[in-house]
Amino acid sequence: MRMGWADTVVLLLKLRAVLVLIVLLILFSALTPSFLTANNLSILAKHVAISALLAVGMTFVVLAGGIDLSVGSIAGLSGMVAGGLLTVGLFGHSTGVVAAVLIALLVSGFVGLLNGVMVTQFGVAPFIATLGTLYIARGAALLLSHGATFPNLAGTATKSTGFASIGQSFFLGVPTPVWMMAVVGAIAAVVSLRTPFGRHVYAVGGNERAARLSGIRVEQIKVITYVFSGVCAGLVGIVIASQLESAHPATGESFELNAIAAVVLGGTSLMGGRGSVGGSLIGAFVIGVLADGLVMMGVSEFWQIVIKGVVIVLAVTVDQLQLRLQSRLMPALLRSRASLGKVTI
Amino acid sequence: MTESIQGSLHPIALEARGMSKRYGAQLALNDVTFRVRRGAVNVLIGENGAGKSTLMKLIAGVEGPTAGEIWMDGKVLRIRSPRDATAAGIAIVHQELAVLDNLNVSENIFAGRELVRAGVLVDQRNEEEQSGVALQHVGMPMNLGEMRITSGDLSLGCRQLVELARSLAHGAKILILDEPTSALSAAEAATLYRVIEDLKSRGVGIVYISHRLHELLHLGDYFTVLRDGRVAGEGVRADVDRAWIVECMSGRHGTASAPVGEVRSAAEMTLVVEELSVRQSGRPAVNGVNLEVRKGEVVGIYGLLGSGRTELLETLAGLHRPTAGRVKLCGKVAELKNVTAAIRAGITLAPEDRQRDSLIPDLSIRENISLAALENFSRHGFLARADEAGEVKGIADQVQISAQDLELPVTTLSGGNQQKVVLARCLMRRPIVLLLDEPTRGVDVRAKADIYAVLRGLAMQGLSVLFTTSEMEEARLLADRVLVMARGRIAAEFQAGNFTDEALFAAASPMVGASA
Repeated sequence: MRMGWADTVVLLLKLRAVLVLIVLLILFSALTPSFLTANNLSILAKHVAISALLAVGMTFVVLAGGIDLSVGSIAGLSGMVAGGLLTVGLFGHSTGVVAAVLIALLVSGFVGLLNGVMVTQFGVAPFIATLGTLYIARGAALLLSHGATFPNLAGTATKSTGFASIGQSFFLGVPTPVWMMAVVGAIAAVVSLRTPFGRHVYAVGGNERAARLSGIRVEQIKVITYVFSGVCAGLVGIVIASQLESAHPATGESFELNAIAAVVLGGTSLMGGRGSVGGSLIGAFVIGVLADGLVMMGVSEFWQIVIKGVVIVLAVTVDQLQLRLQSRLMPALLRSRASLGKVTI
Repeated sequence: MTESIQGSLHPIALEARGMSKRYGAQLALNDVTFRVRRGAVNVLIGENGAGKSTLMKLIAGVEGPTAGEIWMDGKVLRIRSPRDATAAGIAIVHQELAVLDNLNVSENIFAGRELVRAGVLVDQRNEEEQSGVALQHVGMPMNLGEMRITSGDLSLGCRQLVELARSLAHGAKILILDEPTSALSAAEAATLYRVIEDLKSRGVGIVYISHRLHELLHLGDYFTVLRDGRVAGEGVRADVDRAWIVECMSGRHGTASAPVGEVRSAAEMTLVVEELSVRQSGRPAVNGVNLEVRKGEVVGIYGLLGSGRTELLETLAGLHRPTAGRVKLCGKVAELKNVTAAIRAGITLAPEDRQRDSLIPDLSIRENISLAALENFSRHGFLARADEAGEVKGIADQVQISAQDLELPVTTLSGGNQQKVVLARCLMRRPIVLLLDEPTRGVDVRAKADIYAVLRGLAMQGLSVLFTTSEMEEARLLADRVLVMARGRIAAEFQAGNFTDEALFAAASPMVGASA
């Protein structure tokens, strides 16, 4: 395929998150020798998987013009539900791992449904609706154990439940959470770009009224995005509980902000209608690599927070610059598209 | 007249019987029966607020009726959503475009009705093929590369055609066009007329809503006039003329007109533009324009979409920085760095799109009017409400806003009155030069005449008015002098009453004979 120079410029700008990621990887590899080791990369990927899973769910919500502040609390609640089912059980009978996980995901999806219904049926602003469920889910998580931790979820030395393997096992040398991120991310990317549902999400976020007039079921689309985000958060809660072999009611605090940061870093507009799942995954990696690299370089924890903030603000600024540049390059783009099309047809 | 309608050749494709729609206390539509005939253009006319758009919303499933039934093929249709209407073969091209700016052209054409392969995946190839055919039909052939352009980057006219292509791609039996040409250039409109003829011959029932009478008389086969939510008249083409339409619409005789003032060749120059050039999106939009406006003179700029007329006005209003040339105001060079500077200098613009660029729907009429001049009423940082209310009242009377109460939300006003609110706001700044971009877009005939009279009155008091228009009639009725703009340049100049439609149109058409 032949491309004009304007296309190349725009493509480079679009790929800037990838470029930043590559630069960070090279930088940290050069500065700290232990950064580019299989062991460190494996740990790094496991950390990233957590925020990436949240970010993927969040991407759909944001693309459709919403926001989901409740994901951190849902993760906490999900872990507590699974933990409670495994230790205390339901009506006195401890459930199996599969049932515990499924019920935890169901509860997470239900909180998402609650978000969606509040937003679409009662017209509550997404920010407020999910702020409400942020508190509700957190409170529910604390209520389940009266604030205590559900310990020993992996079972005893003689009788393992198998719960620990969800977050701790490896497949082909890669940690399971990383596989989850890859599979969920790949499916989400295909759904967003190649299915009617995905296109409807973009349409709803781009111009809700026009989407409605086009016959798109706007409410239904929005509800699905919140449910999916909730389920992703639930999955994260289970992975964390499995890694720790215990469920803490405070798990996932402020995770929602990390997820939003990853989404924004990945080029998704908080106004909706513009962005991608792939971008969010890269955004999650940028944040993860940055945190990991700075720790290994021995940068103070306080500085790390400042740097993270600077990176996020810079990313969004560059995003706006890209939009302006793109509209300035539009005539050149149109010319190259027109010639491109003639070659293709 | 009813007899000839009953005995007509075209079978009825859809009949909306006894349609009523109530919004709060207001009955927007009152027991209206409307028939759409197959293979014909069914014209729906009425002033703003007469109930045309409401009726169309009911037929297209955007809103539900308070009472009434829609019959199609001998059955009552249950239309509860735009989806149901589409399924029944009813397509609507909305006046406020329902194009998704963030999706590309072919995605837009299939929005909400995506083609699917393998059960779940969007069949992009097939969509693009069919889009190509539909775009060809609407006279805007596109290749693959162009079809993948984000719709937001297209001009208003192109987007309108994309929406039309959308209805065609889905084989609509009934096609509703709500003011389809308001955003189109003459060439694009001509294409649209051809598409309509083609659709008619294929048996599609077309509902056509427009304020442009000459267009309606040219296209229409059946005419229905609405007034105050009721049917005020019905007729077939042979029985209908301009006078009948205007009479039915307004309930009185006569057409829109305004007294044309005598040319003030002696008055001083207030606005002088010298060799002004502006670039937009990397392209020259305005190219070495020279023009002058005298005190108390009304100058019209006639031009097609994309001729640079909007960019010219926006530059004079301080919205864009010119790349060359200068602007003199009352003999002194004016530095129009930004909008504030332009307003201080005495130049104010009433933009084309009042919903998007002017009015704040949540605020009252008074607040909308005083918005740009609040510093006039500041006393130690607080607003002096009495001063504000007094001045707003005076200006509202001057532009003849007919509102029960200036404290009502601005959205309670009709289109014509909303436009007067925009005018009033501009006047609050006590401008020397008033710029108006399409001053009567989407405004009905009677309100147009009002606005012309108001502008004439203002000119009489010494205001210089420079307006753009894409309606020849407006240029004729309002301007002392008409400049024609094409491809960023002033292509011709005519004195009032001294030009024909043909001459105006020929001057405005870029490069005659360049495209077939």
